Amino acid sequence: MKCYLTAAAVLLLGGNLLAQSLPAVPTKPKGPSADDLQKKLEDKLAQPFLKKAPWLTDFDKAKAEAKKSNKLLFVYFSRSYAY
Amino acid sequence: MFSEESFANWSKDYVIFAHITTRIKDQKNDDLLTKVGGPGFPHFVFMDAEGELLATHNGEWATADFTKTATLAKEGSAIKAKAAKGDAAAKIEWFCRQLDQGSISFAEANTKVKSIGKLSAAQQKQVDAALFNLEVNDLGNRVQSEEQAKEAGKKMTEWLKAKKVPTGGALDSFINFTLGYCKEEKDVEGFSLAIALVKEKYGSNEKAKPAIERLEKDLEAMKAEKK
Repeated sequence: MKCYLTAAAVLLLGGNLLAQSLPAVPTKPKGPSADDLQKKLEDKLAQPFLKKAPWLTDFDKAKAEAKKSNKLLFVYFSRSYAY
Repeated sequence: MFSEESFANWSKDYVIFAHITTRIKDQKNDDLLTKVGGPGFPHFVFMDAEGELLATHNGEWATADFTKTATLAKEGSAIKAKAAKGDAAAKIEWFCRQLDQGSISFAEANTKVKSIGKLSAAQQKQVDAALFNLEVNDLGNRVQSEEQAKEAGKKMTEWLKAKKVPTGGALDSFINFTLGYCKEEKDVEGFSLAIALVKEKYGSNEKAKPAIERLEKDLEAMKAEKK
């Protein structure tokens, strides 16, 4: 079955929404190898902004810190993979 | 923004966690964005120390706006605490929050609703609508093959013809699947109804006009083929 991704994706882009929120028939991502993905993660973790404030990048450690300090978690979702 | 001193100052009241989706096999918590109903990147939420979603940020990427969302998160935290102590009204309110946020799975929500207690008519309507949205998203998210996509499209087209239509983010998934299925199956009625949904949501957007015109041409071609 052809997925109507193209037309709907155009609509979503026209509506100023994120195209990646559109579910299509998922295909296995073609792209970086495991080593490449690991390198991309390392590059992401080396980004300067992570040193400008006390960012944690481990979820378990972040939860533990939130519990210890009685603070809320502010979570910024980003990605390191890219095709 | 994150490099500015103002953010560093603001962040002192919170534990700031940068989650990075890596697509590395077996990477721990790599699917966290999906679990909190995030549609893409970047995405900002507030959680409690248990990792429970309290509020999703939908405003500007600025500390003043993050603070507003944090206030909602604190309210959510208080409701959750009351619900945990057995407060019936808080239980219902917390459940409704989880439904609205999409931070509860369809399966879990479907189970929980049976024991949540008596809902007012307005709450029942809200819960029914939210459950349906979850069901649509769940159906779409489980698609892993062309065959499953066809089944999902078929189910959603049945709902569409029964005038059962989701809202919010679930509507986009619904539109995509019904358009695809109806085009493939040359279902003129279903395709026409799906286009009506598209027009309702995007009709006022100039950028969407070429795509809508293309859909309408496809519909005319489908009708001509049927004659």
